[in-house]
Amino acid sequence: MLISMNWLKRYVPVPDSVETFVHDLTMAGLNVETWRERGLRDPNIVVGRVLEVAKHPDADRLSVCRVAVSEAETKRIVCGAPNVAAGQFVPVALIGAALPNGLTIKKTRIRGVDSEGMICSDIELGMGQDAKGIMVLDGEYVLGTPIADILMPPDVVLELEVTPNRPDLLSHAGVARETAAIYQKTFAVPEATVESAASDKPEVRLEIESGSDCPRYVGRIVRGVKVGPSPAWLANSLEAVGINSINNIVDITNFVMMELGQPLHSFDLKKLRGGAVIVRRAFDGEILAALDGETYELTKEHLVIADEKGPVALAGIIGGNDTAVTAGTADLFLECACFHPTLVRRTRKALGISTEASYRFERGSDREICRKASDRAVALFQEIAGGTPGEVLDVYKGELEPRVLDFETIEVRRLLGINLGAADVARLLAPLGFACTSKDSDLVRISVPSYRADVAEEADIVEEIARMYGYDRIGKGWDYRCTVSAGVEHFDEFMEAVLDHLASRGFTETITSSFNEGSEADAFGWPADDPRRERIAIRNPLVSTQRFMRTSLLPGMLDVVRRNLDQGLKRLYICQAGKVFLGRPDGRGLPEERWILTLIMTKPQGDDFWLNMNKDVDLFDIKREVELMGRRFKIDIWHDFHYAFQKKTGMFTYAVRDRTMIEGGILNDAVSAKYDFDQPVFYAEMDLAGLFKACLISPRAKPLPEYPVSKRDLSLVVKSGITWQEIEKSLVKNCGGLLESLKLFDVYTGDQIPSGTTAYGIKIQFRANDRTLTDAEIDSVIDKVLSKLKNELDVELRS
Amino acid sequence: MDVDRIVQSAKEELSACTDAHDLDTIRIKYLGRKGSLTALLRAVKDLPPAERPAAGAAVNAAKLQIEELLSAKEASLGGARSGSVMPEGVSDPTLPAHDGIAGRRHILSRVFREMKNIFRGLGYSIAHGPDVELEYYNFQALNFPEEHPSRDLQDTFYITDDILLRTQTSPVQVRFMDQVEGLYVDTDVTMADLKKDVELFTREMFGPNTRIRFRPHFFPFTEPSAEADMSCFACQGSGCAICGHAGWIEIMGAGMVHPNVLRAVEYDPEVYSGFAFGIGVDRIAMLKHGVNDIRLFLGNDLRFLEQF
Repeated sequence: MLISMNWLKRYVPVPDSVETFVHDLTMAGLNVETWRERGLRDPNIVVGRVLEVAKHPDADRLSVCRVAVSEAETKRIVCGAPNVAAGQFVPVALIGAALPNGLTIKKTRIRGVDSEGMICSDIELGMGQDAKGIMVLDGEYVLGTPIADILMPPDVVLELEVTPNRPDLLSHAGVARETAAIYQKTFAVPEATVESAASDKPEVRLEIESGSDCPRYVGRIVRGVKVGPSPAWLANSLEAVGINSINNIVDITNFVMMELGQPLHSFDLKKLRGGAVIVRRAFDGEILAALDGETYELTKEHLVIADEKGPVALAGIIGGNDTAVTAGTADLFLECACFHPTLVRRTRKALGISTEASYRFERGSDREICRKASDRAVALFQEIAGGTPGEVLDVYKGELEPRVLDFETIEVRRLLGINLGAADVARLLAPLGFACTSKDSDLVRISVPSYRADVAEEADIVEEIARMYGYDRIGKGWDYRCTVSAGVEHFDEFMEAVLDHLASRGFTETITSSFNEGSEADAFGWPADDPRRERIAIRNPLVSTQRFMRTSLLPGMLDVVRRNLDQGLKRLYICQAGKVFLGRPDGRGLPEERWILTLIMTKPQGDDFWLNMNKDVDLFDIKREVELMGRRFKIDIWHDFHYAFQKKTGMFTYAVRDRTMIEGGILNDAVSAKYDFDQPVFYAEMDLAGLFKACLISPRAKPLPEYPVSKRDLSLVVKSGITWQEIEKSLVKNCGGLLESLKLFDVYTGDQIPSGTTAYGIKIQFRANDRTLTDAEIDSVIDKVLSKLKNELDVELRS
Repeated sequence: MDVDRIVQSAKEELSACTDAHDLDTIRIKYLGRKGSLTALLRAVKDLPPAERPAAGAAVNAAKLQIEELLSAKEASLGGARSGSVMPEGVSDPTLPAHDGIAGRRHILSRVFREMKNIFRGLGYSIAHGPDVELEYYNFQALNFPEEHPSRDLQDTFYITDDILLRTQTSPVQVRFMDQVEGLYVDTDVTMADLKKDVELFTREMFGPNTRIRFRPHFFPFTEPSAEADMSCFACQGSGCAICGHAGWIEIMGAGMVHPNVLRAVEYDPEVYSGFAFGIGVDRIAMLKHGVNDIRLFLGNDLRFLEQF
């Protein structure tokens, strides 16, 4: 909302310092986003009169003019405009004048002719768009008068951020009221009374279909207006607040809207067919050609103003072309109404229009002001465009009960922590238009003005009090309380610890968007029943690459890999914890939001470090990180989860019962190609919430061992096809309760053992918690283990 | 003879030595390139051929004896070691031990945690909320009327008519990044309590001289509502480029919980009151770490992430 300070000053005194005013408005809740100066400040731009125009001796397109700039003084000015002519009153920038565009006028020589100033165009004066020629002033003026006095006095325009609950601030009167309240001053907006010419029969039949759709409609005929350009003050006032001047009639209705906040519309009376104005729902398929040049197809959801034949305006949004006021219009029908906010909003959203009028109606207009605004506009018509008003038609079906609240002053103490009595409350609220009466100091009866629909209950009153009292003054003295945290959110702690662990393992944490483009399901080859295929689509995405909620963190992280590779960072260990969004198979209800942890490891071949030569990333790197992370959080992933490996895809999974907890391995060729990777990318994606359930949050202490450990090394020769997992299982089972740990320290294939076999070197530690183990005891365990290995897996002791 | 005298002299010096650092001086004095025993060894070649073997043997024996004495002394003085400290074949202890790559948390996570820790210290508990939400909880329960322009205050992404992505509470936040929302409900909670927590938070986050101010604002779910500014941490409020010469920086939206919101969860607003606030983690991170382009956070360029 743009507010012109000059305009505002007509209604209320404001501080001299703009900075002070801006600060005070902001602190009262009228946030001033920006402000700028407008208008001509330089007194060296004056009214001149062109006395003579001669052709420039050396340039076809230039004229040499003699221009009177005061009664006594003339200047020679070279001018390039085609429309310059003797006798014109024109704006002249004298030597030394500073134009709004930053140009300073100097004495110059143009193709051999001295020029002592410049005749200005609209654009050079910072007004309008017309650059075709110089500005020619209508009428006669005293030569040498500063142009600012005639056209555009210096002004400051504020841009207010008006929140949607405060439509009453979408006008200069509304801001004047707040200003008066802030400074405890009074404000006055011109009131007009219009003498209507009584007529025997109404000349227009006004029908309102529904009092809910159109709570009030004030209509009036004005006959015999003369349509023409607006006077400078009017055009300038509107241009200051960003509205182009069109003609005096349209400008007056716009002026009243910006003054009082009430949108109005003028129809050309002659073009209203059948002498009727009907406010009704459109019929499906009706068409309206609107003032914006568009044609709209309407439905019964839309509210229109119609004549006998069809729609002539979209109620509260935009007028129709066929009934518009034009240069030839003599008789008007002036509409000043209140339309249902939801209906206006729904209609303008459905049709994709937004206007100053709809902006105000959808926020809720003040139906009490319709008559006053109509009178004000008619009075301005009479003053500026002439005309005779007819009888007023006022159909007020939706009159509101006055709102009265009984307000207990204790509420102020309870919500703001300050003590105010009834008198204080009345003093703070009265300037805003709240009428307060109090029986005692604890209770105030407050009647809420019609333009403050946002004030519905006590808390709203408290806000008004707080605004006027000053937010800055609340809380002084720190009369407040202390609270102790109710506890820790364990999952949050777990996630932080996991990410810290991974960071210390060399992973850099990334954070990516929750949206995906949605093509990953096929690229990754997820099976048909994979929950990650149940995507949630966004109905109104900003861009097509953000059409779905992610069901995996991988696509986003692979984008990160791609971008970093492009920057020449080739060794990437990254991790991310984040939510994925899985639709319910029946597509109903809220999706499942599942916390996922994803690791990615990639490194190009030959990216070596002297201490770790020829070590590429492989499956065991990603498996190591997964299992180590588990170990850190007391989850024995290797033993407690079910491990499976798919040779074809190079992927492993860890599952608990049927639920896959971890999936890891190498990125498949299709996806690699999609991202144009030329180095292998390994990853693991984990069900973080599932891991959290499996981990031991608060482990209990165990006594440290008292008896010594017994160690044995075994070297086993294993035939191909037998996995370590099988051997380990057999070892664990057959070592029994004495087994403390076992470690595979060597894997050997080569000449020393039969071809097709592998030798595993294993260190085993035994311990009992109640005695020192004897060699004989260990030997018998080892014998049993070896014979079982031989029988079950055909594994031999290496000789 | 010379050899005996040299050995004797070395013995005396070693027995007087009490500092391991002096051992090197002694070693050089006798066994170094210009050491006295080395000089003797060199002199052997000038002797008549017949004397050379005996003289050479004597000097070598003396050298061994001094080396042993040195070792023994070194051991008795402590700090000795046995075995190799470097990989096989490597003898240069100045070789690099790492390739300069370390993992780290994302800067937003670090700031997020710092914020959580501050609020925990102020007595808050931490809870996660859903990102996909029924429209009812996002709008009606938070006192947004149907078909009301206040719903345009944020971008709303719809999944169905009734389901949407939870919108952000604070206008300073960017869509779909982490936010910290605070809520405190009890009897007799006032705006003074809110201002206290906001001020303590900003002081903890941006330094003890940080001041705050509240400006009236509008949110459907709070009444009274405010936007909170903090004094600029760079210029302390006198105005600079960081605060756009305002002296103040907007950091959050806040207010007293609207009675309709309390009613929606069956709290009697006559008895209970509360406050709420919403802070964008990205906003705080940008301010705290001087990040001037918000896209850097989700860009995840490691050259950026590794700066923190």
